[in-house]
Amino acid sequence: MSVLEFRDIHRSYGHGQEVLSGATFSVEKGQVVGLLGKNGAGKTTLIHIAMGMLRAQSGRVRVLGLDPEKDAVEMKRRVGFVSEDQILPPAMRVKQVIGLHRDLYPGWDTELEGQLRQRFNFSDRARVKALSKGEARQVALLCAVAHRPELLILDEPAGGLDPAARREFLETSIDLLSDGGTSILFSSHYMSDVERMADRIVLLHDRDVLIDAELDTLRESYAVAVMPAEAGLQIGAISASPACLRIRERQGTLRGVFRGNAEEVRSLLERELAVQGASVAQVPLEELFVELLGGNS
Amino acid sequence: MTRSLLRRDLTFLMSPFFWACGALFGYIMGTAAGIDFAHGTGPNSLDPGRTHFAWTLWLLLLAIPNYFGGGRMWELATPMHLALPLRAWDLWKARMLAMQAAITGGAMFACLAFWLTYEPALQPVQIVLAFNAVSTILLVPFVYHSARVRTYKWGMPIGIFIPLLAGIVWVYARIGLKTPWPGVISLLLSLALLVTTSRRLPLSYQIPVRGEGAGKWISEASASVVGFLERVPLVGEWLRTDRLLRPDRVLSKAQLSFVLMLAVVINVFLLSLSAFGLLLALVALHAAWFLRCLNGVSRAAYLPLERSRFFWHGMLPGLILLALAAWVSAFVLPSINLGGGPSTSSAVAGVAYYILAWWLVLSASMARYATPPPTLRAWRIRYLTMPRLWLGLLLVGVPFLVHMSRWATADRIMARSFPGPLADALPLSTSAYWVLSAVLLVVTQLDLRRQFLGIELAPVRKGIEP
Repeated sequence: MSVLEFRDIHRSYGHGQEVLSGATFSVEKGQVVGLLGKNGAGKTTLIHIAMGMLRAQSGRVRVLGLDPEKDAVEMKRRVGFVSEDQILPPAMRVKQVIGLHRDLYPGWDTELEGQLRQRFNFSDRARVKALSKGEARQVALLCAVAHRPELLILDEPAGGLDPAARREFLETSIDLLSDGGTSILFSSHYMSDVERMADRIVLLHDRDVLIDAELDTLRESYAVAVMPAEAGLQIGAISASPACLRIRERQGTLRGVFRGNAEEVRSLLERELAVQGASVAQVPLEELFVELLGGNS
Repeated sequence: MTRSLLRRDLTFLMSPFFWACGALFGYIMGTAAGIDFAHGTGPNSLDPGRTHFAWTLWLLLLAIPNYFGGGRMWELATPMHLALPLRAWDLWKARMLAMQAAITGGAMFACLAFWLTYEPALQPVQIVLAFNAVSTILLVPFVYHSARVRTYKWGMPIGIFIPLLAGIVWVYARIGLKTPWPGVISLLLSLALLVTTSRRLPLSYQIPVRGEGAGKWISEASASVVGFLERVPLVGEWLRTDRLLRPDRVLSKAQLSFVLMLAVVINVFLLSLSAFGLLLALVALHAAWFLRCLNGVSRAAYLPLERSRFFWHGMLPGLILLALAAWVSAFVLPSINLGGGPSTSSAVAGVAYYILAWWLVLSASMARYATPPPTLRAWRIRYLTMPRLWLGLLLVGVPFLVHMSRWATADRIMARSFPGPLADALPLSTSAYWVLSAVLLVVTQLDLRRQFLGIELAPVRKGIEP
């Protein structure tokens, strides 16, 4: 059974501003899934739907087999959540915030709480508003994981943190993972973070899931081809190919993302699409992301 | 600690014990003041000042713990708690506390103001009703802002606000009611509080916030004032098209100062017209404080309740509570203070304006956060197409008209202490203020330009991020 399941999710805001249109994917037990997409692609909306903060206008959501709306309390007791815009009560002391969470989660692990307190350097007596951004995020992480959730959802968890604080945050998350069993869904714009943490990537684009693949598979089975634009190439013919995910013109060249390794793509271009002189290469994740989602399509 | 915190805030304040204590205290105080609870009326011979003092004290004592309890709940009603496994019952209690705090806080200030401005020659009930009605009218234009405020900062730190309030009380005690200047001073303070509370206004993003301390505060306040003016039809259009406020330009300090001074001069002028300026100033103070309460309530909309649950768990119990509060203010207070029977029109008006105000707040919050529209225009269109809004306006409009005449009577009574030409102007100024309030209500809540003039509003840019 999937730990988290989205099926045919639709969600609009206001008057016809559709953010999600048929998004479908799932997270299996023990998996770490990176949720990627441009700003406004619907990552946070999807996460909020999973947490029961928003309602999907159609489609089915199950978190640990539960309906986030109908079984909200039971579901949230088994899920941890940290987001970039999470605002802890500013006038509360750290001790009170942690205490509040301790009371709300029956499975709270005081031993783990103690370990994390030792690892982090915030003061128990400090008020939340006096904490730095990194410290506040550490408090949020502690609150999200100390009940040993079966699913941890992180929405841009390291956004706005300096590199050192980001590294600390991620290492803590990875250490917690090593206990095993916890599934993680996290959204991020930092490709290095995604590559370090994720087993699988889900890329949202144009209101739907564009790519859903294992990280290793993604690296091996997608290639970027750069073709000279002056060769009289027909963009329409290339983009009609089922293997072509995207093609765009940029700086006098056509740049396309294709399914398949470099050899397969080169062969496809030369034999089926009669494209000569293309430069085809497997590219790092960040490059792939830019090629898929960058401008000038 | 947390457990005790929750127990104190969620359980104790809501417990029958707490309310029983309040009722007992009220009974004791009322009896001490000579109220005949058995017959439900106060004796006519009773000194109204004593009666009123007892009620004021009771409400104050009831309001203070609610203020702090509710404040705690507002803190809990942050987005963080969307992700927490809170039961609907906890959320319901949180909402109730927030509303309760706002209501009793408002009552606290109403009574305090009434107490300070009390004169035996006046008709207390009319003053109280007028006070509450004006407060609501003043309040409504700002509901929009309260629904949009997403930061968790007070407009003015409580540490400054309370001494200021104490200062105002002291000034009243020293100077008394024979001069409008205490009213002017308190109005200015209230304005400052209002503008600093309403931060996320449409044009605010155009004005860079610079400096620290007082400089930053003034800069923010200026941005808020300009933002408010921008939302007034015609004025807003003028500001929008004026080269000073083009998106690629910002206002200079001198221009901002001019806008601020203009607002102040207009208000002082209005105040100088009438002895009611004094009352008005306190009303503004009340509204400013009330706005802060509303911010808290709008924050409660972050909590994970969908529309139907929001209504049943949050709105409906709140409305019942409000109806009770309105019933008390409309029936109980008149019968005690005047020794007369209850007034139907007062009751209808009281119930209607409380319900409308809270309906507006909650609906706005719900609309804002349940499915946030991308632009201000979309938000306004949504409001414009709400049949409930029109029904609410109808409900509240008719009783208000009835009260206009009653208020004018009270105004004439007040005019005795201001003989001469000013006395003749008082009823007129009162009526003018009512009209002004109604216009403000309409033009700030509804986009009539779009409906009747066909002028499209430009989408609002993203504001300054907190």
